[in-house]
Amino acid sequence: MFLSLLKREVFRYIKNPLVTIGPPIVSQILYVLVFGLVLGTRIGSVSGYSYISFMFPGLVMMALVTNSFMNPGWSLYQARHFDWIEPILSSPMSSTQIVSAYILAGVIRGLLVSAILIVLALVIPSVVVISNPGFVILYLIIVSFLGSSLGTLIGLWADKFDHMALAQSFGLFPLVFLGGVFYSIEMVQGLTVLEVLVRINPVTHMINGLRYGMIGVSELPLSIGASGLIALAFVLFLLNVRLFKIGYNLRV
Amino acid sequence: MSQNIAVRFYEISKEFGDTLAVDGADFSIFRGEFFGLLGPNGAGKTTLIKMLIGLANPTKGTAEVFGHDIAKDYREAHRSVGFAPAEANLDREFSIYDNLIFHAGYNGVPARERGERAEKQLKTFDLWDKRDDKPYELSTGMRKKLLFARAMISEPLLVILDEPTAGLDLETKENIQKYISKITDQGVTILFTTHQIDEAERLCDRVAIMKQGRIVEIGKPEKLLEKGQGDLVRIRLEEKITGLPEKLSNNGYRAELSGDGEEVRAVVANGPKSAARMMEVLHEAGIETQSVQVEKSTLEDLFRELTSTEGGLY
Repeated sequence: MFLSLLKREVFRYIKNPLVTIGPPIVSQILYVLVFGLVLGTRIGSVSGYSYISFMFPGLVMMALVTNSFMNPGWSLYQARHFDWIEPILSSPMSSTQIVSAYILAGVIRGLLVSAILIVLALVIPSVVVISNPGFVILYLIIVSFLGSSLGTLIGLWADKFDHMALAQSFGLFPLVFLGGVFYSIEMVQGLTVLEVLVRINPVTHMINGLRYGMIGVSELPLSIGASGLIALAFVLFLLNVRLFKIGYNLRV
Repeated sequence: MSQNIAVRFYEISKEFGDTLAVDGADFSIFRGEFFGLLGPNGAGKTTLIKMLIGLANPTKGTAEVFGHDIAKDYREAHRSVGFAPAEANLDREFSIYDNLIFHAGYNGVPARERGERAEKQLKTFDLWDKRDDKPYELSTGMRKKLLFARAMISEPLLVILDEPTAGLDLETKENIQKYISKITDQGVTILFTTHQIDEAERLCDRVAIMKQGRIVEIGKPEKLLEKGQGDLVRIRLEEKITGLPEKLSNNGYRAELSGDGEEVRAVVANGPKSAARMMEVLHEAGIETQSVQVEKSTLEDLFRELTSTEGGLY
């Protein structure tokens, strides 16, 4: 039961890779080329690494969060909008199984996009540095789970197409861009409001963790960041299960 | 709950704001029974069904499916149910074959059996050649058949059909009706809603008539007919008369004379027998008759009678 729904959710993007997997890869590669290789040479080094190597973990995290968020969000919204969620709700599957399938499919998409991005970037010399592979894998899993749980929540909440676009434009993208993809925290010191926004932003902790795993540089306490992200992911997962159980925006 | 009962509703109600969509439905459907739920639009039929399959939360009361509570033990309750909705809720992103395969998976059909069952259902409903099409590429009739095939793929003990033949051409409708009858013979319980009263009268073992959220009548169609207004007897006279014999106008028949004075009409419980007796009375009174016609009461007449409201039917 759970595996069937998971398979359905994964096939949904696997069978259409040019539409689902292709665009984020292309956009991130463009970031690498334009910001990293062209503009990066003028910025110089950050924390002792070339700008492109410093920025790359942020780009991976950006692709990971966005894809793991969008997959369950759009899929669930569409399933509700076109009513094909009904056979799933009237099946013997439990709320935990349904939520897990949606979230896990998003996790797999996020990891797939990230893995392809890292492999492709290996072609360009001195871009990808991995100093702590275990940390990289741990953060990719935590963050994709968190992004996917958030996407599931938004997919449940959205009543119309605009709501999904709204959540991306006014929620996800500001968080990602204020999360230190293109800059270090050191660079925003003194810009009081911006610095606070950057420090309290969960995406900053995601990028910081992955950056530590890749280039070995951390600007924030890793234990607090990791435990906070795990706790947030767990709370969102439980919230999704609860909302499915009570039928929020699912049952009349 | 008795072993013989497939579905049991316990004072189940559903409110939408100030509107009571279902008002304390309390009845049983027996195993192997073909049960029809009749009622005009907005009577609460679909809401009642949706509560049974987990698409609506009851405001009060509950229900059981084969002894499993729909809220506390919903997984077991859902396991034995196949549902074909009135509106297509098929997965537009996948082919119709994949729709069946995934649906079988959601309902716990073992992976090794899914392909075989999907093929069987698609062939049964003449959709095998369309197996690679997307649901939106099918005609309305084909989509209905696909919904039915999907409901059947988990080989459920209870099949719920919401307006299964609405919008179908005559041939497809007859095919589906035949298939429904065939699976009922195999011991499957069927709960279906319809606006087509003749269909319910022909197919159902029992029917319930809903009006404004309430079950207003329930029973075997023939028993319900006895509660109805009865058969209409029309006797055409040889010559115009100005008044009816007292025996006809007052003696239980409450017959009426038509405006032109050439026809006697009465609504009676047993049409043929009453018509013969009325003819005798007319002959005794020296009134010659030309012809007699008995219009049997149908479930549709009863349906109209029960669901009519001030200002017209429905």
